[in-house]
Amino acid sequence: MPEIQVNGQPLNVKAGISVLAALQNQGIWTTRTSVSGEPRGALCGMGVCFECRLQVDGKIQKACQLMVQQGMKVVLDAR
Amino acid sequence: MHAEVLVVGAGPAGLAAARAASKNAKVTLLDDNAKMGGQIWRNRPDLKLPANVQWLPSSGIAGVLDEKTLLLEGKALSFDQVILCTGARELHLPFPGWTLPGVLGAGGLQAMIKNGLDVAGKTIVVAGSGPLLLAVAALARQKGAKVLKILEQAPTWQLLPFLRALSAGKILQAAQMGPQTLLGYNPDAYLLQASGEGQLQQVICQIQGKTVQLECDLLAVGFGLVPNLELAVQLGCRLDQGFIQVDDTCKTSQKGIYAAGEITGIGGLDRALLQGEISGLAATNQTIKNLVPRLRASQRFVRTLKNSFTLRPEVLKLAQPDTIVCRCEDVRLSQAQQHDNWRSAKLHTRLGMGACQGRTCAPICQILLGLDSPQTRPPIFATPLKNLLLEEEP
Ligand code: FES
Repeated sequence: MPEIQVNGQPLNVKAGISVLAALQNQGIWTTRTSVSGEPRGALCGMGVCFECRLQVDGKIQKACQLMVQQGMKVVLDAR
Repeated sequence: MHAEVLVVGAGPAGLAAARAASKNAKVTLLDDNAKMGGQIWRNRPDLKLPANVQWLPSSGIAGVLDEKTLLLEGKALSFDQVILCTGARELHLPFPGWTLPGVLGAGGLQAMIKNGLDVAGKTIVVAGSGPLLLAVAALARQKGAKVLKILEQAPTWQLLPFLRALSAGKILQAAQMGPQTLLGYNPDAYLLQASGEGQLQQVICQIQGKTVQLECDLLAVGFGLVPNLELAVQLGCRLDQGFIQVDDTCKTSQKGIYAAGEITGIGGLDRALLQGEISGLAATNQTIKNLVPRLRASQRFVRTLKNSFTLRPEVLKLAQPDTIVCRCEDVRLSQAQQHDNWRSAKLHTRLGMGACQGRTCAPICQILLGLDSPQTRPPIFATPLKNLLLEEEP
């Protein structure tokens, strides 16, 4: 089982799943805060809406299209 | 990099195109996902490519350099022929509460489950329109979710032509989805609103004229599909009624450019496979003669689908003045309504200027307000500036 870090906390996740699924399976459905301060979560699941964007290993990426990999560092709600 | 035949998109159409073309040419197949299969076969382990197909996963196209060259992230990719199989995305229509976490696209939920979301024990409402709703509900149930209701906005009489058009094979397939498939299926039913504290908790809907409240963990909504036209339009392909115009050989208006699957009309898996095969054969000078009659029949199915799931006026009026229409920039309906064209709305409200570049809100504003957006401009996806710079000369 790969271990990833979410906001600095270690998390063991299933292999072969998306970063988004890994978070959702932890009950984390909010991936970002909108420009007027609303909580937002993934909508399209296929790389179109950008609502799932997160900082992963220092880069803003779409969590729904990114597969988990050992040692990934995920930061929620990064700008 | 150079491709003899380039196939863009590795869903059913793209895979069929790559296979057919590879009998007579070297093929390069790319997709912005890590795995091939597209929406429908996402994460299927048994997909294989013939030996002379080169597979480029996770390859987002940033733009078009010229009519025979695309810009990938930092790299140029030229081609002799290209087959565009960029598929479709879901049409979302705003209603109060649709921006709450836990409200997902119906296709979105399907994709998330296929990518590892565990829905066992979750209560789910599926709503919107089209055959996708049943497929999503069946998948969620198979994975242990409790699907409370499937709300199809079309009334029963409108669905009949669709049912009649289904082949025996399709009906058998549907039956195999399980006797549970139709449980909770309600035609003539639609959402009114979703609500919850920072997260979805309940939905209110209208089922055959009665207002019903349902508690649920997830709401999956899909009102149909809109084609991903960005790349085709930037390559100069002509449109016909909102889709890429193709002839019987899947050739577009542009020389050397073919298109197959949902970008030429929403018609489902069988049509996508057929068009994929035709485009792959035609682009590599192989005969397609025996496939053309089947293609004609598939065009009729496109029309039937469209008519059976036409949206009722009520679902186009669910958004309230303060309902968000542009999720990236938090533009509300009342703000967008003050403008009679896309450009003015953009300049004054930042509508369509966020990360998704109007992919979600442009179809919404077109349908609800008649604001026609110019199809697309580069970059095709929002991308860091460095990706627009070439590392090497093409
Ligand atoms: S959920 Fe829409 S881009 Fe990831």
